[in-house]
Amino acid sequence: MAELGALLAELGGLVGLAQVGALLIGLVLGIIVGVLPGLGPLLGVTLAIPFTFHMDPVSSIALLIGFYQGGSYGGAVTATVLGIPGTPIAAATLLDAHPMALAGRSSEAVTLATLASWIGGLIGGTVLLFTAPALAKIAVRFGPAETFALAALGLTAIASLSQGSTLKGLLSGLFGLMCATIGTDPFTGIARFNFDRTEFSGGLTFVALLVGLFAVSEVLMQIERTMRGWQASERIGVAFSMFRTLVSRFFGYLRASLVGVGIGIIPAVGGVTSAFLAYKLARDFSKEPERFGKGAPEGVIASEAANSATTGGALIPMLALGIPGDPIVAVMMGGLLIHGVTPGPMLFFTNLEVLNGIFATFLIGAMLLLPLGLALLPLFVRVLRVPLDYMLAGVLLLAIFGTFAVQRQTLDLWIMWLFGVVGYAMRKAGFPLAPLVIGFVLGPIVEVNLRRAATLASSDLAGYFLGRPIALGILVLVLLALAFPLLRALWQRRA
Amino acid sequence: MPEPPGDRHSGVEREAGWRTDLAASLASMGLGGWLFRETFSFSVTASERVGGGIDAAGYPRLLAGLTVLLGLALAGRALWKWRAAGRAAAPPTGDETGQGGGKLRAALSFAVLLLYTLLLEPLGFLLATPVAVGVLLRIVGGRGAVHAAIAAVAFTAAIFVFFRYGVNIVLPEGLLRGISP
Repeated sequence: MAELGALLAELGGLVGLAQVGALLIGLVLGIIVGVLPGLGPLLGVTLAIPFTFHMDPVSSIALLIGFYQGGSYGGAVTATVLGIPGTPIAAATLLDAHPMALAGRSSEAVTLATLASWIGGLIGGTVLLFTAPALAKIAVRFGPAETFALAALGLTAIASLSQGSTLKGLLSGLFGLMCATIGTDPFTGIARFNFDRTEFSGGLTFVALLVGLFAVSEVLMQIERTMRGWQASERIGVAFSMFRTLVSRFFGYLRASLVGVGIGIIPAVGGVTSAFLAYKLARDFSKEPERFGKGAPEGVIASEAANSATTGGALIPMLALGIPGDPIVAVMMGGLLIHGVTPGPMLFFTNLEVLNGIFATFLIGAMLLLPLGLALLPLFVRVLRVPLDYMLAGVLLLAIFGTFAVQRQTLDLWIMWLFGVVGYAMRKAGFPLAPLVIGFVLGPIVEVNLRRAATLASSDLAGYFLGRPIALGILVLVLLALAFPLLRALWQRRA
Repeated sequence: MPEPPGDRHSGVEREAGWRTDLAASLASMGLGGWLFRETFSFSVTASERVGGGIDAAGYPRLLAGLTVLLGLALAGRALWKWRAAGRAAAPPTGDETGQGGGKLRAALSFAVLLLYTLLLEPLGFLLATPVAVGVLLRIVGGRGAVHAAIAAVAFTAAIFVFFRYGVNIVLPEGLLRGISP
């Protein structure tokens, strides 16, 4: 504990009181957003973005990291108490945490989930700390061809690996890339798709697009579904006996965390898959696999440690390569871009203060999750009593005035509503929203690097890419990502 | 291994039917075609045409072309689904049959929100918000008039205090310009 304290103090030296305050607010609100069924870390991060405009870059990323970590954990409380996952990433936790609650062991289940999230977050943060700089050292040698290929890989991976049809994922990503072309051409300053309005010269407002796409469409979907409330009357406290599992089930925590961080690095795969994969591994390695699904503590440990560690893994490609692997990280990247901080290998050489602030706040957040999660547990359970219509009205008001606050113009509200309808229609038609937002964030990177590569290549763009083995290798991965759903379908048909 | 649910981060609700896919493909092709045409209105001069044709107009043209192509592929997929659905005589999906009350509730709520946005600047936050929130709570939660009114005033006050005094943002004052706190 003394070493932990020393590390905390050292990390604390890298960030100030304002940053830790922002992190704490993010953690508490993130857990609440995670606890409330139907919301989740993505909506939390989206609603928090407008408030980061008036903060310094490190405070702003601290707030978003808090929402990410807290939101990823909060769903476990709902999964235990109500038997429904507060967020999809808590779905695997539900399998054993809820049976534990039904057997009168709610406190044990939630304490275990908190411990597992804590360990997962710490391991994810540690891997982030050591892996991201190493990856950045390689990536700093990349030219426009390699950067373009990487951005294309991030986009195609999320389009083909996320839920639903690859074709629709690609169309969604293309729509995001097209939205990013609105405004002024980055090379020549020519106006493009600006509808003869000067307000569009800087492009579409990121916050308006984001809030409309995720928050407004989600609220509309929730209003449309049967208005069903929930009731949680359970009293939950801290089960200190569960702390013994930190020793007795150490390898279970470690294995799940490593699975989580590994899966997190791969674009588009995310917390849901990592939690289920870690759960399956825990069951396969168990001497009593028949206990899984009936209240096995190892199941709770596996799923929660894995989904928590995924958050650290997911930040690695964003920080080291400038490529967001999941929509939450894409939103966080947008939050950094707003402050003029461009994630990618150069960040490790040009903006060390912000980078160290990100590492420090991530690790501090991971450490604070345990005391905060356990101390405020009764509050989080009480949050489940908030009526659904109040919750939706609150989300809408925050969405509207959060968006309005950015530029104080009603045009942004109309853009938000437009993208709310677009998001709603896309969800209804089975189009994933994640590629759109990633396409929008990566749009300028894709365009600038493709056009630079084309300029360097003169008239032989294909020859230029063929002469760059790393870029070529990444483009082969792009093709594999596109072919993956087809290969998977063929394999499933044969099986 | 238990089946993981759909990842909400991706925002996908369910697999759509052939009609929805066909409509989406037509929308994609229409959007791609319109954007392609629009790129010819950009004032790109000869000296700015660098990079093997991938210039200020060439790049969006490339994206628009790809959108039309993928839209065509989606139309093909819709036709394939239509043929498969015909053979299996499958009923339309829930999205295509509609869900009556829920859709109407969502549409009404959205209409209230659009009206609220129109009236926000002229009326001001303090006058427009309680009315809009009250109506929304009546539509969404089926609350009684008094309950909805009290909750709406409380929501308005909380949001006003948070933005005005918490993050120092002046919300639209409208008719109360000069009077509002």
